[in-house]
Parts: sequence; C-alpha cells; structure tokens
Amino acid sequence: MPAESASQSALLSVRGVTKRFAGVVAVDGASFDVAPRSLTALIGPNGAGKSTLFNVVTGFTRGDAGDVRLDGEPIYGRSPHAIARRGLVRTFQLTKALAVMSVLDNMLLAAPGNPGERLGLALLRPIWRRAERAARERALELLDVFGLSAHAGDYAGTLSGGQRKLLELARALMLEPRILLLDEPLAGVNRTLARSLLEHIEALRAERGLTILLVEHDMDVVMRHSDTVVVMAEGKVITSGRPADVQRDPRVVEAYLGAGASSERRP
Amino acid sequence: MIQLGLLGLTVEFLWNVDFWINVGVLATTYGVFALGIQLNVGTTGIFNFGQAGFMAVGSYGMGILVVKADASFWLALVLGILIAIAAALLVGLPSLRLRADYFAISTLAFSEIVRYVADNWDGLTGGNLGLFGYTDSWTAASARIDALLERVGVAPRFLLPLLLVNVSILLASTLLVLLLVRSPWGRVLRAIREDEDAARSLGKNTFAYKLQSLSLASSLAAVAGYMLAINISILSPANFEPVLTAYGYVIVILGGLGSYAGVVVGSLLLIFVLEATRYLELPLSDARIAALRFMIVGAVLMALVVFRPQGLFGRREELTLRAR
Amino acid sequence: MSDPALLDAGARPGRLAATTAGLRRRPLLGFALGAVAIALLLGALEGWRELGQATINGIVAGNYFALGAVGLTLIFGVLRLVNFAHGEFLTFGAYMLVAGNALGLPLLASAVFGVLATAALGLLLEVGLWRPVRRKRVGELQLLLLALGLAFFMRNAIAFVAGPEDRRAGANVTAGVHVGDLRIGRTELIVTLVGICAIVAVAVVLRSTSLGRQTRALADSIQLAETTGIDTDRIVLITWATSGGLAGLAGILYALPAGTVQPNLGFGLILSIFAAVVVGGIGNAYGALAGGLLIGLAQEWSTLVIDPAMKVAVGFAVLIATLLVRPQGLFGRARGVEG
Repeated sequence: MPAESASQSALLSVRGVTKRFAGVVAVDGASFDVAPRSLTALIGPNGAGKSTLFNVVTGFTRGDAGDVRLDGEPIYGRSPHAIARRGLVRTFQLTKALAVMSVLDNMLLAAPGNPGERLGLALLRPIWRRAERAARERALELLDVFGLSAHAGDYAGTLSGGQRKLLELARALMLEPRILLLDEPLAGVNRTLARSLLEHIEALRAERGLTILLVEHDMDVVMRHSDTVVVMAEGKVITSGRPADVQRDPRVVEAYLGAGASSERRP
Repeated sequence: MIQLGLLGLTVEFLWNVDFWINVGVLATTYGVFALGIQLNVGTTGIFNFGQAGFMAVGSYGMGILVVKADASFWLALVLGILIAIAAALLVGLPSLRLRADYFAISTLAFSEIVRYVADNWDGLTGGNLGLFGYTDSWTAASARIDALLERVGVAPRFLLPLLLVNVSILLASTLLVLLLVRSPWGRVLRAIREDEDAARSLGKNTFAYKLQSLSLASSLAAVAGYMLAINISILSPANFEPVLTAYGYVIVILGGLGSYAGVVVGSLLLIFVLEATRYLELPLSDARIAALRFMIVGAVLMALVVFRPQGLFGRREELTLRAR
Repeated sequence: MSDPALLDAGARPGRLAATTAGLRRRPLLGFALGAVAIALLLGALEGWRELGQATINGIVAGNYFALGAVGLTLIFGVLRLVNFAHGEFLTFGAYMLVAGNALGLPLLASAVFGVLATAALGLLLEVGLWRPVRRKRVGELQLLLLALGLAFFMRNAIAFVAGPEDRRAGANVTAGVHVGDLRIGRTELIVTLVGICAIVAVAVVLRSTSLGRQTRALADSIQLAETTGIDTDRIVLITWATSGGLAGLAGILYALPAGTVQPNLGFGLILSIFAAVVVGGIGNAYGALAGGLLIGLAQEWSTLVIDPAMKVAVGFAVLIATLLVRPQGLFGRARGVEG
C-alpha cells in the first residue's frame, strides 16, 4: 500500500518514526497506516522493534524523529495520557490490573471526564455524583459483556490471568476509544482463552465499529483474523498489505527465517 | 509506689493528667505529620522521605513572617502553608517524573538542606539559638479558650487549650483526607500506587496528581509544624531532625499502609511509648539515653518492615496480591 | 524480552561500547569547558590566589566525596538498594581509627584497621540483613525503609557506645606545606595523595580486571549478568566489602585532617555524597568518582562568592539542577531514568 495516498483515509498514520537506544537503532524510520474499522496486525520477528514503535506511538517512549497522526491530528511527542484522551488507547503485554483496587474501581477509573477527579472538586460530591453514576452503569454493562459481573466487588488482584486480560480490555473500552492498540494480547494465554479473547476483539470491531491495531507473534492468528498486516524487521517496516499477499512476500519469509532459531513461535 | 524493680520504671506518671495531655499534644502533632506520609506512601505510592523538611519550611516560614516581617499570626499560618507547597513543588517538579529512588533521595536531601540552612542562616532563622516571639496571638487565643472552659467548669491547665485545638485539627484533617481518598481523585492516586503506567494509559496525568499529593502532604507537614512551634514556643533546627520522618514511617507502618484510622492509633502508640520510656531510670547520661531511644526507633522501624509490613491492623493479603 | 538494546548489548558488545563512548564524550567535554569557564571567571573576579586555595580545598573534599560516592553507587547498581546508612559507614570507619589508636596501634595501622573493619561491617550486614531480606522478596519501599532504619540505628548505636563527645583522630593537624602563596595542611596533603591513589586504583580495577568488569556488568543489569554466568552472590559480597572499605577510608581521610571524630560525621557528608552519585549517574562508578570531585570543587568555589557556611547547600542545588537538566547524570544512559 503506497504510504502517501493512504494517509488521506487513515485513522492512524505513522511516518518515519525513529528511536535509538544508546546508539542502537531500535526503530528506523517506520511508516504505516491503519484504516478506520480495520483490524491491523503489526508483526515481525523478536527484536524487530514492534514494542518500541508501539511505545513511541502511544507516547510511553520519546521518539528521536517522526510524525504520528490520529485522524489528521498530530499526536507524536505528546504525553501518554493526552494521547489516550484523544482516543488512542493501549493495553500492555503484561496485564496491568490495578491489583489492590476492586474490579469496578478499575473500570470507574478509566471513565473519562469525571469532575470528581479534580482536587478542587473532589470534596463536592453533588457535582460529580451524576458522572460517577453514569460511569458505574456503563462499567457494569461492560463487565457483563466480558463475563466479569460476578467479580465487580473483588480485588482485581484476585482474578485469574485470563480474567485480567478481559478486565484490561473492558477497562480500555471505558475510554470510548477511536482506536485500540493491543500489545501481544495473546501472549502467555492458553488456546481456549485465546479463542475467547479473539472473539471479543472481533465483536468489538463488528458491533462497535472499533479500529484495532495489534502487535502479535502468532502468524496463524494474524493471518486468520486481520485485514492488513504490517511487517517489521530490524527496526524497519518492510512491507504491508493483505495477509495472503504478505505471506507470499519473499522479504517476509527471509525476515522470519533470517532471524533463525530465535524467531519464536508459540508452542 | 508501684515500681517495676529491674527496669527502675516508676509507673505513677500514668495517673498524671499532665503526662496524658503532653502525650495527646505530641500524638496529634505527629498524627497530622504522618497523615501526609500516609497520603504519599500508602495511597499514592510515592516515597516522601522529606516530610520533616516540609514541616520545618512551613513552621519557620510562619515564625519568620511573624517575628521578622511583623505579619499577623493568623495570616502567617496561611502563608506558611503556601511556602510549604512551594517547597513541595521545588522538590517534586524535577524528581517526580523520575524513578522512585530519585524522588526518595531528593526529598531526603531536601529535609537535610532545610535543617542545614536553618542552622546557618542566623540572620533569618536565629540559627541554633532558635526563633521565638511568634506566640503572642496564640497566648491570647489560648486564654480565651481557658475562659470558655472555666465557664463549663473545667479548671485551666497548661497545654489543655492546645490539646483541644490539636485534636480538632487532627480529626478534621483526617476526615478531609479520607473524603479525598474516597473520591474519584483518590481513586486516581490509588491507581498510581498500583501501576503508574496503567493510569497513564487510561488518560490520567499522573505527574500532576503526584504533585498534588505531595503538596497536600507538605501542607499537612506545615500544620504539624505549627502545632510543634506553638507547643515548644521556640523553633530550632534540632526540632526537625530527620528522625522525625522515621517517626512518621513507624506510625504509618504500625497503623498499616493506606489506613487512616491506623495513623491516629499508630501515633498515639508511638508517642506513648516514647514519652513513657522517659521515666526509665537508667544509670546513663542524658545523651546516651537519647541515643538509645533513637537506636530503638531505628530498630523498631526495621523490625516492622521485615516482620509485620502490614502493620498492626493492615491485611497481609493486600501485600501478596501485588506480587502475583 | 523484545528489548533491543539489551539484546544488542549481549550480541554486539564492540559496537555498543563504541557508540556509548561517543555519546559520553560530548556531555563530559561540555561539562569540563563549563568548569574551566567558571574557574576563569571566579579567578578574574575574586583573585587567582583565592581561586587556587579554593581549588586545593575542593580537591581535598572531592577525594572523600568520591570515595564515599563510588561505594554508594556500586551498591545501588548491583543491588538496586539506596543505602541511606552509607554515611554511617564513614562514621564507623573513623571511629575504628580512633579505636585502633586507643589500642596503641600506630596511626597507619589504625587507619588500615578502620578500613578493614568497615569492609567487614559491610559483609556482616549483607549476610545478616540484606541477603535474608532479599530472599523474602520485599518491595522497594521496604528496602528504602530498612536502609533508613539502619541509618538511625547505626548512627545512634555509635553515639551510644562512643558517647556524644568529640574524639581525637590522632594526626598532626597544625603542620602545613606552602607552595607559593597557597597552603595545604601536611595531613591534608597526605590524605589527598592517598585518596587520589585509591580513586585511581578503583578505576583501574573496575576497568582492567575481570572482577571489575563483572561488577560493572552486574551494575548495568542483573538479568544480563546472570545470563552471562557471573557468580552474583560472590560479586555482591565483594561489592559490599569494597563499598564498606572505601566508605571507611573516606571517613578516615575526612577525620584525619579535621582532627576530631563525632557521631554525626558521616551524616554531615551524606548529602554531598548523594549529590555526587546523582551527578555522576546513579549506578555508574566512574561517574561517582567524577561527581565527587565536581561537588568538592563546586562547594569550595562557591565559598568565594557566598557565605562559606552555606556551601553544603550548593551540593543540593547541583543535585536539583542535574535532575532538571540531565537526570541520568554525566555518565549515565538515558534509559530507565523516568518513572
């Protein structure tokens, strides 16, 4: 997909992002686009720079150069919370459930625009009561969708690993994101749970019209579920396109084989 | 005479009202002081080791304004808090963006430098001779409280008015902090404690919240500083030894991390033990006894951290939840 | 494990070393030029003799700051432990010198005894406190609080045993050496030479011996060190002995020209030592050595323009300025500094 023309219709457009660590180039001028309502996968062998690129796009790592736009609006170099508020919401490879907070509190925390979160208004309950009640209703609805209603009052730390993944997904939805970035959502997850997670992700796109970008190792999953695949190797985006086309691309084959034994595939 | 023979501890002081008033005045002072540490460490998860420094800045600020600038005592109470908040921003702005250990080092260094400056800037602070003469307005107010008490049949007693004021302040500030912590604002603080990156990914400006938490703790330190300043009538750098911060942590860990009722109980307990051990009659010089007491505070802090990190009332399973 | 820098460090050490060296040179050059510019300015404004004297004093102070800082930074680098009790190691070393004197040892032997005793204390605390605590997998706050509690315990235990009064360190503090207009105490001169030798020795050991390289590797990343097969338990013990020994030496080098020892000796120095560690980049041994010297010079130079009683505050100002401008310090890498 030629980059320049695509950026017109892209929801997320990444251009020339570069990041060095102590002189080592982790991401080297990476560019790609995510079309609205698509499920785009960012793949590549271990150490290709996917996670670093992900972190630069979401503001968690400061890049050395580049441009990132969300629906035309520049977000490159902004802080993570500002990017999240604009509707680009991420999850983490290692789930970050807020352990000593209830599942419901995890959800309520993510609700945007609660005036009670301002120090000056926190004591004035009447001002934020309505926003809090609305957030609670939405939170309970979402917990129901993800099958976590029964655990609403439990500490998030008591959930199983799989339930935490679901909670993180549900929590991200509380922000009403325009695009969801999932960092290896299937890492360390058994097959049954992986299938259920994928079903949820598919449903999010189909029912809520969400755009999803996910980083993934597992080629089978990527090929089966995504519309567009972006392939990285050694810090560069080497190709992107439809799964079937990418799979046949000799550069992709070489990148995966070239990484040799270290290119892991989940057992 | 009741005596625990071996230790040479006479326990008659337990029937002395003045002993208990003194314990109450000190415990409420340290309670307000530790409330700030609890907000920072127990709720926000930022390791403030400079609470003694913020206390010094607030109380010296108030004292200097009254003594050197002829400000009204009541106005100085407000301005002292603003000065303490400014100090919190000075320390927090460069270090709260960085890793937790940078913040711990910066706050500890700050409390040291405050004491050092107070010791050496004689013209402003009176150096180690101390700063005094800021209590006139309080003495007048105290007399009015005494008069009120007499009307309801309570005989005037030294420090009783201060105790009443201190108790009200401790209760009010505990209530205030509790309401804040249970508000959506407090929920963000707890999220930062659990995982700051998660909070940031959910659109929270965690840096601003950490600064607010530190500023609030620093304000509480300033208030505790006023309680101390009025109690001892003279401010000297020796009153703000960093061991105060250690007291604060002993209180917070005793009462349980994150527990605000625990702060009140913990400070009563610590101050009772510290004051009661003054009645130990040991064949040692005063300086050695002082050293022994601080040694014990250090040892108690270490023992608590190793053997009972959840404190007296905290729940251990909360600590293990995070380790999963 | 998709951390490219970490992977690369293992795979291509040559390239990594070359590029980091390139990165390091620039801030150092800028810093050196800045220092020279400040020196020239101070000399022109306040007089060259005064500048010379302040520089000598700064180097004297920089020595014990550097020796104190390198031990503190190594312990941090290897164990991720901010040892708030490090100042008390300096005090302990100085008191062991006094104890040696009291036993009738010659001064030099007392000093050696002091260094060895402090190294032994470091080992004892590792085996009796830190290692068991690490096995319990306590959190970061617990470690910081343990160090804080230990600092109060040690400081007051020393005051309890030795009494609050000043103790004589036992060196001649009146004799001096004159070079032109400048004066340096004879004891100051000797301890400074000893200090410089110790600093050079530490730098050489860290750079050239396999032990030193392993320690630096461990300070850089514990996981990395474990995968490359370094015996971490042994390195940790050696680091504690080194940290303790150097702290003891720093305390002794401070006490000898000062003439007396008191329980707050190390506590009065720890602020400057922490500033030196942060300026050099937490965890970086060379940085701590340079940072110590920098703090010593900054404090003594500042006495030319501000009240000398306030010179310790300069250390704090440098610390805050470093955090604002270059939080990773002169030698540190930018990674992992942010919270």
